[in-house]
Amino acid sequence: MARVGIKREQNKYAALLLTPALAVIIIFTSIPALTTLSYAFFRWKGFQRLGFAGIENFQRLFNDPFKSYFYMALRHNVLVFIAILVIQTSLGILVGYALFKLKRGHRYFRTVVFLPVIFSLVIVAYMWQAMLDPFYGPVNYLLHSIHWDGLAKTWLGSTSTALPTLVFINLWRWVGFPAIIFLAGFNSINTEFIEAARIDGASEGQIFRKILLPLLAPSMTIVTILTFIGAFEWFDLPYVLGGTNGNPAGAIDTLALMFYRLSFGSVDSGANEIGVGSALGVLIFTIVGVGATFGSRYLRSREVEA
Amino acid sequence: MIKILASRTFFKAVLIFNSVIVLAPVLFLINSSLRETNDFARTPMKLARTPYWQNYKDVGRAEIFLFILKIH
Repeated sequence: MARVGIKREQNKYAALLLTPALAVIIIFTSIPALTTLSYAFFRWKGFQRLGFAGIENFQRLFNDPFKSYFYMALRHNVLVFIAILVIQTSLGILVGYALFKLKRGHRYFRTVVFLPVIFSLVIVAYMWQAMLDPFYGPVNYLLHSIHWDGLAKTWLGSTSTALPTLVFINLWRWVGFPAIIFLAGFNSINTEFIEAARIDGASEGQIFRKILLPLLAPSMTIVTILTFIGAFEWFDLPYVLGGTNGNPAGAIDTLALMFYRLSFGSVDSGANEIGVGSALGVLIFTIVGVGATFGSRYLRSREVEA
Repeated sequence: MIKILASRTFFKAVLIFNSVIVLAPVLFLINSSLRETNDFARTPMKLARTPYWQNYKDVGRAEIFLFILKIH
């Protein structure tokens, strides 16, 4: 009887302690999300809400003039996700493993690896705009000076190079993040496994492939899910370097940029379309939510216990 | 032993290469911040042997900068 009383008292305190956090989540996350969801089902004139529209906004998103922009932006998001997942994860593992193997200079290299992550994105964008400038940028200067003139391009101004260049800038900024996560993963692996494998005559490559990499799966899950969310909500870098239209000629347009354009309007694309914008917002939310949930469930099922 | 040394050298090279890639734009930014605008436009790759501190003084004097500082 006394135990039930204590349990009830504990539950009361737990509820009391959870209330502020729950209130913050409800006010700042749940209510805005539900409001956006409701906006998608209404007709709008500027910022003035008109009658109920049903699924009309969603249908308009998949018809002209929005259809072509939507598919182009979606294609860019998918390409960015694949490129970042493959290259950033591989580089993250390589740099993380290099830091793990390092005997001296730990503090310096760890700081340098993580340095770009702490920079403001606007400064990163400005820095790379200067670096890649076709007239005074050091990248083209270097290419000209070693007589690789054909490789010197207007990196951010050409439709064929703008997206890969943005992916590179994104990698430059973020590769330190998975590297540090993987380093923590390597450090958490029990050294007895490695020593036992060495005694059994396993080479360094075999130890890496057969022991370290499978035990790194929890870190891999985190990195993959964060990369997925980041790639499908990619807004800041394309916005700073390409404006609301993802210039040049929409070459770096993403779903988040299109959402911004539709919801708030822009100088080039004209007035806003809050209904269609909200429908797109709901769609992005669904893609990210469903993808992250199923992705993490699948990846967690493949993890091995250390 | 040679294999271990080779792998250590390889991983050190990876980190040194990463350092160069990470620090090059930062150093370029710092160098260009210490040069006069016209001088930078003429020879962007030149090192700032005599730092042009006026850029920093100008930033400190800019009204918008002071305004932002006051807000934050």
